[in-house]
Amino acid sequence: MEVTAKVSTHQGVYSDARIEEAKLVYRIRQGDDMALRQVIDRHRVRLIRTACNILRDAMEAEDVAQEAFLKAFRELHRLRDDRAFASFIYRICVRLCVDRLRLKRAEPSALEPADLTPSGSIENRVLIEKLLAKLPADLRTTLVLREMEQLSYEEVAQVMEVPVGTVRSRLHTARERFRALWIAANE
Amino acid sequence: MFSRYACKRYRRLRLDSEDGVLSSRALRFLAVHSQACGECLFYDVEISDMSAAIRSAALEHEGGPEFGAATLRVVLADRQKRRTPTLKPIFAGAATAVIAVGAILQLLSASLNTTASPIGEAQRPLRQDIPLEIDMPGTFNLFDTPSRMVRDPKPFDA
Repeated sequence: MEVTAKVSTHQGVYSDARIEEAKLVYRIRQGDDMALRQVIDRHRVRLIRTACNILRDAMEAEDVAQEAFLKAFRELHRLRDDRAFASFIYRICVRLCVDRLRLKRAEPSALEPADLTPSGSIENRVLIEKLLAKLPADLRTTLVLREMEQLSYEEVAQVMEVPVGTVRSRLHTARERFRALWIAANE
Repeated sequence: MFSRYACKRYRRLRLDSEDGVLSSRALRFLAVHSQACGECLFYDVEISDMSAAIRSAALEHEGGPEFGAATLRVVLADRQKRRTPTLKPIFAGAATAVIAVGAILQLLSASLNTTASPIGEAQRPLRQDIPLEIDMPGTFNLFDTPSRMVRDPKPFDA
């Protein structure tokens, strides 16, 4: 099999999922539409969930995820290693989210502690969303990727294309700022 | 009482400890400091609560049922659009240059093959004089063919 041979020429041991992914990407390169559908089904949940957590808007998250798929398939020629497609498209999606966050204006109104006091899960979620909205795009995205998506420092660094040291520093700043807002909201 | 530096160091290391990237010495420092410093212990609790709150606010939206089909349609339409042959500027320029060179070569070859023939004379049809048919000067129609008026204005004097 040509596809198998192509994949097995790479050195090292990789998981079945990544090899399967490489096969699908290879088929997409050959113009196989069924493979396109399979790849979309494979990654849609993760992309939409992450975009939703960063943007805090379900509809916008779906828009961004769709845009990420479109961009990833358009720029497939830039992907050197087919096994890295998952991180490739995830990176595109996060970058699109950050771009959208930057385009949005910061909320001008000051925090109103009386309205933001968390007393239940929904109120807590609303409070978190309002506090996250106060953070700059980079800090907010770093915090979400680390806390909600549970990525490691290295993974966050890879996705955001910055050094690990920068992730560590951003995360520290984000937590400190979030903590200050959190305390203000709970007083 | 701890120095401000020790508390600052504790808080920085505390955040890093979540990833398990700390050395055993740093971990020992964290353990000793948290037992002795009430403020930093309180900070620990705050950070833990905050992290738990952020995690609990994670959304689990997976997209609508039509998302996959809609995305596939968009991607396929985009692919189809990109497959449509369009002349890129460089190819369009090259094609124009080839056509221009071909036209010049054709003109040159045509002029080289032409044989001049001095024998003979130019044929030109003679102009046929058409007299104006006007009975009297007063009935002359101003909107009549101006070419006649210019060619033979004599009827006015008749």
